[in-house]
Amino acid sequence: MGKYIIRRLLMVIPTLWGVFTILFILAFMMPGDPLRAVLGEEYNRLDPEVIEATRERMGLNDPFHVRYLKFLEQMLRFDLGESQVHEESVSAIIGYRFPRTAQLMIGAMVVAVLIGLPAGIVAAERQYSWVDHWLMVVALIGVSMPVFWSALLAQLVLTQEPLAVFPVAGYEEGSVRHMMLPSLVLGAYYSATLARVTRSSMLEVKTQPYVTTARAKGLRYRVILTRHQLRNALIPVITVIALDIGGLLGGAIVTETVFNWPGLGRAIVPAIMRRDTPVILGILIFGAFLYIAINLITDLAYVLINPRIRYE
Amino acid sequence: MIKRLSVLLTLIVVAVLAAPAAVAQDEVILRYPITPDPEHLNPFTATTIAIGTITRPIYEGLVFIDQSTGEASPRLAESWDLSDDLMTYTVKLREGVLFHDVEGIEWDDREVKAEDYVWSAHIYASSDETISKHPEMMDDVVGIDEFRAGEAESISGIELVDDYTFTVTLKAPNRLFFTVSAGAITIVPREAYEQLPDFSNRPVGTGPFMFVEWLRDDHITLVANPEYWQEGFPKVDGIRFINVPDANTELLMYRQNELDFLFHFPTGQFAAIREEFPDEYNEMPGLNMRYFGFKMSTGFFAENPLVRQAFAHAFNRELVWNDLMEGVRFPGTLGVLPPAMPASTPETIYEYNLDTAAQLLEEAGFPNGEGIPPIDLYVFSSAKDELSLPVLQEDLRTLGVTLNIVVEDAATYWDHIGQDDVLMFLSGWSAGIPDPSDTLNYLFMNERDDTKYKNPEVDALLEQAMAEYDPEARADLYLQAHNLIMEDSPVIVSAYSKVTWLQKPWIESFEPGGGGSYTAHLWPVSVNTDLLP
Repeated sequence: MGKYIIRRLLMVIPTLWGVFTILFILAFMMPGDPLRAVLGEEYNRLDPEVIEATRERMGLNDPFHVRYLKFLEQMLRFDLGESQVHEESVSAIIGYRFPRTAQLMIGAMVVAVLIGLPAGIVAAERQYSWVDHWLMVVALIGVSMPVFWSALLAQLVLTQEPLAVFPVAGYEEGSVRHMMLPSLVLGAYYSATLARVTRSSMLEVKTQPYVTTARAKGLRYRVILTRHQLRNALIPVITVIALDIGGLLGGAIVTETVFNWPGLGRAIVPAIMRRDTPVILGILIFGAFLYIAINLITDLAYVLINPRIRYE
Repeated sequence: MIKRLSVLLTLIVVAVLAAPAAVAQDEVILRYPITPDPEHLNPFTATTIAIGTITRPIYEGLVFIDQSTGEASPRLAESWDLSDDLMTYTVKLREGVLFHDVEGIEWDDREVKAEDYVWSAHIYASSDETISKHPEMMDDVVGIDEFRAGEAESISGIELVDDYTFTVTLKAPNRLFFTVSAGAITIVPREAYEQLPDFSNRPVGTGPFMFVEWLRDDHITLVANPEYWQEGFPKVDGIRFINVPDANTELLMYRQNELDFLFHFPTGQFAAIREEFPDEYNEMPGLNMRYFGFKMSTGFFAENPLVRQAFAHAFNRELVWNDLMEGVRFPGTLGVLPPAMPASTPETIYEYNLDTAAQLLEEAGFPNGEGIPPIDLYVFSSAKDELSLPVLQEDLRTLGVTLNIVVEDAATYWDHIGQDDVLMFLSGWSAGIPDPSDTLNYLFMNERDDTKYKNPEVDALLEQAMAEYDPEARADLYLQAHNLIMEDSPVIVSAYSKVTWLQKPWIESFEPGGGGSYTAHLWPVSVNTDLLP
């Protein structure tokens, strides 16, 4: 087990290097000039000497390999560099925003699990009943509804008179009140997938011999459901949740914009627009790292849920 | 168990929703929407209007500039004298003006002195772009070259007379000394710059409002400066700049009284919003000009001036801006200077007339548009829905000219349009001050703009106008230059900006000026608390 974890951790290095290289090439190939992207028409006002000196300092005049090696060397020192637009370091930007994105992600996940898991279990237990049909139709609608649309809709209905239950937007030091609507919108979307996966996984387990045995032993319904069925059905569900967390990192961009949530998504979109390469690379590599870490944790969680799984 | 849990959950939800928003009732805070976030808050390296919006209430300079006339009036400078040769300004500072108190610096009632101006001026003058992005402001001060070359420790043209008086000597007269030159710098306390590790994000000035906090992409809070030198101002207890990236969200927040102003109207809803808030809607002419530019240095348009004029006649501005775009801008019928600018209308203007346009094309040797290659018009992505594009396309089609619209994201677009393969593009220019030079010198002088327009006669007139102190003679020089530019037609003027906004009924004395929400002075703004909901 220990060896397995070490091997997996070592694998992170080449993976991140690969991600970094691909991202760097993409960022390098992106057309456009960072200076003009930030300044727009204001560019004309600046002294040409100032512009040239800035270009030189940012390394925009350097050839590909020089810039690549410079960045790589920085990364090896765990230094993500300085933003070319903000007078701030990339790690400060991530350090400020990631907890906020994480907060939203956790809120959304709680909502998704609270809705999705029970819905999936009920649907499986009452297979082909009207409850099952209705739940799955609702889930289908949920999966098909893009977040940007449901976010606008929710905002339009639930923040305006006469149904003004939530504040329109904003972060407000992360208050629960401000967090609820974005979490609900994001969570509802993911709950739909979760409900469908839970349902099919529960159905599969239901016909297993050990469930029949448990029933034959005369165990109580709740014990069969939670200890025998649900626990075994959780493996694919956990996998979906883990994948969704990665998706949430990206999916939160729209939600963050609509609800003025100061997370990572709100930093990366303008960074791409303005060709702020250090910020783009920093956030994406951080995202890749996070994704790998979550995957590792998920794999380890399997062991806890199902002791039959062993890593050698 | 589940029942009990759901009851508990419901109770929690109700409790959270019922909790009042954390707003102190007795404080009057302006809630002012902004977007995007400022890049930083360092006045020496500031290059965008987003930064200026936030630093304007915090830092101050020597003078106020009247937004409609460009005239200077006393601010930190109590008075000034200009020598007879128009080269030396002797400036007397107001006494008793204090810098804001700030955590991290030990000072007690730190007064603004003449040496603060001298120190700030030397920072602005730095040729290191990480220190100053505006060295050009000090370019015309005597001794600047020796200072930059390292031959002198200080700029000889800036001299300290006493604690409150200093002189600035220029190489040549500059009538815009207080608006764009050494007189326009902001005064920063040296201690803040040297001792605050986060000076770039922690402004300390003398202005009506003091910086409190900046939560990135969320809000920036300022509070009233109790020791502000203008007695009785500011009129509110603070400002909360709220970052709202989405115009629809801004509208919803305004409707719910979460904002006191609305500056960004969601596309296509301008008329509807005006109808919804007839008493809260305000407008005034702005300082921005929107245009289609032609590449004047090379290519098809450089060789065919008559075709440029034909195109300028073939664009129905009134239809676009008055009707289709619901009046969000003024149609560009007065030449290259917006109506908010004190300037005269040129004699040559291009009225919409397809017959005249067809005739011009024929004169140019392209009857019915035959022989004109398909034209690519480059547009930045945020303007791709602008209805001027299909209208121009359709007008030109009737003349037999094919216009393709190429949309590029802003970074690519701005990099691209300066290159020779781009023959036509949609662009805009915002003047920072109401002086014709702030548009003409940047767009039509010395090939500075992406059109690469150059007319030595225009250059000479603009040069002359810069040094002309007599307003009438100057207006005449600008009119001559304006006429020549219109004759050459390096651009098709599309529209002039309208500064438009909604403000709640309780807001009083808010006058944003031609730069709109970005350049508004907020110290005179007051809130009539009787009208608060």
